[in-house]
Amino acid sequence: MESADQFKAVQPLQYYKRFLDQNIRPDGRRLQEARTTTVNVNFCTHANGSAMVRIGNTTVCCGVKAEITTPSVTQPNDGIIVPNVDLPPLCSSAIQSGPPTDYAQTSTKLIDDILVSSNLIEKKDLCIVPSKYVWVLYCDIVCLDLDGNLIDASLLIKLPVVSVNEKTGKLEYDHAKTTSLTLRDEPIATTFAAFDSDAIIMDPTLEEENLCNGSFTITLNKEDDICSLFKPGGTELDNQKLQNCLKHCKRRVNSVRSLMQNAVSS
Amino acid sequence: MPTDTKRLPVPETSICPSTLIEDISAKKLPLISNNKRRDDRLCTQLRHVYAKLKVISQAQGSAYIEIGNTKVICSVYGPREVKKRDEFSMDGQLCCDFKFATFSCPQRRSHLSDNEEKELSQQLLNALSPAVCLNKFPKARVEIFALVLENDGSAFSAAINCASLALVDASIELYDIPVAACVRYDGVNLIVDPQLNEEYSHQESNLSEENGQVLVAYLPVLKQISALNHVGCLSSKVLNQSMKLCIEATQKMHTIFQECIKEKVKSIMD
Amino acid sequence: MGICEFGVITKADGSARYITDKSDAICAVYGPIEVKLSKELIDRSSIEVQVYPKSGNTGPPERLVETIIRTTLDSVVLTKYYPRSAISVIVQLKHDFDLSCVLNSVCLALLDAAIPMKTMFSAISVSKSDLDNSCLNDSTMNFVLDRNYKVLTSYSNGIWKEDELKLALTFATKKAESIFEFYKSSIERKLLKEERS
Repeated sequence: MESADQFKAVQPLQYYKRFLDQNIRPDGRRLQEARTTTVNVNFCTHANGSAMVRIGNTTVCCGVKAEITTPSVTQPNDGIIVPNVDLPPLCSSAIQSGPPTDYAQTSTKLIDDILVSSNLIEKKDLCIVPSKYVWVLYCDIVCLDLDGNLIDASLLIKLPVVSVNEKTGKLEYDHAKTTSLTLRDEPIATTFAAFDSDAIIMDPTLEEENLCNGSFTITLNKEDDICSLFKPGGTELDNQKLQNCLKHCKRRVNSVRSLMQNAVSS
Repeated sequence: MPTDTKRLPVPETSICPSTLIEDISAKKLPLISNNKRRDDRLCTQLRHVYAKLKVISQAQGSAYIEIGNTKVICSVYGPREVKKRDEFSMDGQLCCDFKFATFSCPQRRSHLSDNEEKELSQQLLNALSPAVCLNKFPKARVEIFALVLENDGSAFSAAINCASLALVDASIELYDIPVAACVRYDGVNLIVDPQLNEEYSHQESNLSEENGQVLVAYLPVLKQISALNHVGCLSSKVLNQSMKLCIEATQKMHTIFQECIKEKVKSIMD
Repeated sequence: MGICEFGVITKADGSARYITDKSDAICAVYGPIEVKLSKELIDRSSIEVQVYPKSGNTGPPERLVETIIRTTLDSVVLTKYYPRSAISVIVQLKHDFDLSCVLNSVCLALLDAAIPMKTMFSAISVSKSDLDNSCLNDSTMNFVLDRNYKVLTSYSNGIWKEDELKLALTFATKKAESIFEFYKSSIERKLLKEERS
C-alpha cells in the first residue's frame, strides 16, 4: 500500500495512466462516470432564488437577488442579468484573498455567454416599465469547496435557482405584482478531461484537472442541442472523438435533468 | 464608487423591492406576547442547532453551522509559512476574514468587504485568539475564513462558534473552545439568541429607553470571557443579567459541540 | 482572407498585424524572457497573455480570451525548450473583437518571433449564415485547427444542432487550408524582403 502512495507522489501522471489503461480511475469510477451529484433548492430565504449543488466534493451555491433599476438607453426593454463567480479564499488553499482570480473571471464570462446563447431568460420578461424600470438579477455563485469541475456545478445551479425565482414588487406604492419567471431553456454542462486522445474522462476532480492535458466543457440545452462548446487548447480532437463525447454528454445530461426536476418539485 | 473591472459591469444603482414595501406592521409587533416570542420560542430558548465538521475537502479544517435559519460555513488553513520577513514573531499569527455572502441578507451586499465586515473580522480575531495556543506555531500563520450564507440573526455569534469548531477540526491546539451567544434587551425582556427581526438596530432605538444587545464569547472550561461586545444602552444591572444569560446559553451550546466533536473523533477511530 | 503585416512593433521579438473584414488586431511576442519568480515553471516556459480591447478597461471578457489563447499556446508551443523562462504575448485590438482574427494574429506573431511550435494553427469562425445563406442567425462557432485539421480549441455562441456542428467543422477544415496557404505566402514574402534588404 505504501509503495503505491509513494509511486503516486513521485510519478502522479504515470500512476494515473496505469489506472486509465485498465479503464478505471483511482477513485474507483469508470472513465465516463460522473461523481455523485446532489441538488438542493431554496436554502436561503433572503434570496429570491437559491440553490446548492454538490458534485463529489465540489460544492457551489448560488443566490439570485432581484432588484429594480433603470435600463440602458440602447436596450430600454431589456432586463439585466449579472452573473458572478466568486472563488473565496475559503474554498481552496491555492486561493489567496484579494480581487477575483483570472480563473474566476473566466468562469464568470463563460457563464454569462452560456446564459446569453441558451436564452435561458428572455430579457424582455424582466421589463416592468419600458425605458424606466427593469429588473436586474444578480446571480452570485459562490464556490465553497473547489475540487474540480467548477463550471458544471455552477451552471447546474442556475436552473433551480431561477426557476423558483418568484418576485414580488411594488413600484411607487401602487401596482403590486407577483410574477414567476419562465425559463426558456435548461442548459446543462459536462466537463471532460483528456490525458491523451484515447483517454478522455468525464467529470474530472481537481487532481485530475491538474494532471491532464486540457479539459473541455460541452453544454447542451433541453433539446440536446449544443449551446456552448468550450475547449481551450489541450489535446487535439477529431470529429469522431467529439461525437463520442457528445454521446456521453447526452447521457449525463439526461440523468442530471431528472435529478433537477426532483429537486425543484420536492 | 470606483467601478470593479474584475467583474461584469452592474447597473450603477438599483433598489431592492422590499424597501419599497412599507412594513411598519411587523416592526411594531411586540417582541413578546403571552410569554412567547415571534417564532413561538421562550425567552431563554435557543433555536435548533446543527453543526458539522469537515465539510470542505480542500481545507485543513472546516465546519458548517446552522442556528435556526442562520447558516455559516468556515474554513481554517494552516499553520502556513509567513513569507514576509518583517512580520517575524515568535508567536503564531491568527488571521480572520468574516464575510457576508451577497445574497445572505435582505439587502444585497457588495462583493468588497464593507466597514461592518472589516470590523467583525477584527472582532472575530479578538474573540478567538485568547483560546489558541499561539506559541505552538512560531513564525507561522493560521488563516480563518468565515462566510455567512444566510443571516437570520446572531450571525456573528454563529461565526465565532463555527470558527472554533473549524479550528478543532484543523487540529490547531486550543486552550479551550470559545463559544458565543447573543442576548437582546428591549427595555422589558431579555431574549436569548435573537433572530433577524428581533435584533437590535440603531434606527429602532429610542434614546430614552434602555435597549441593546450583548454578545459574549466564553471559554466554558476555563470559565473566562474571551470577548464581550455590547451595543445600545443598558444599565449595569441589566448588563450583568444578560451576560449571565449569555453564559448559560453558551454552556448549552458547548454540550452540542462536544457531541459533534465526539462523533468526529469516533469516526477517525473507526 | 485578410492582410498581414510583420514587424509592426520594432522593439518586440516578433509582431504581426492581421486585418480581416471583421476585425483588426496587433500582436507582439516577447520571448523567451525572464520570468517572475512566482510564475516560474521548472520544466517549461510559462506563457503570459494580455489582451487589450479597442477602448476602455479590461475585464472578464478579456480574461476569457486570454485563457483561450494561453491554453491553446500551451499545447502548441514547444515550451520545454525554454525552462524557467516566459513567453509574453500581447494583443491590442484596433477594431471590434473577433476571436479568430486575434488567434491568427497571435500565430503570425509567433512565426515572426521564430518561437518553436509543434504545429501552426489557424482559427476560423463559422457563422450560421456561412452554412446556410437564408439563415439570419448570428450564432458563431470558433475553431482552432492544427496542421492535421484536428480541433485544438473551440468556442461557440448560440444554439447549434449536432449535424450543424459537423457541417461547421467541415467548413472550417476547408477554410483552414487556405489560411495555412496564406501563412506560407506571407512568410515567404517576408523572407524575400529580408533577403533583399
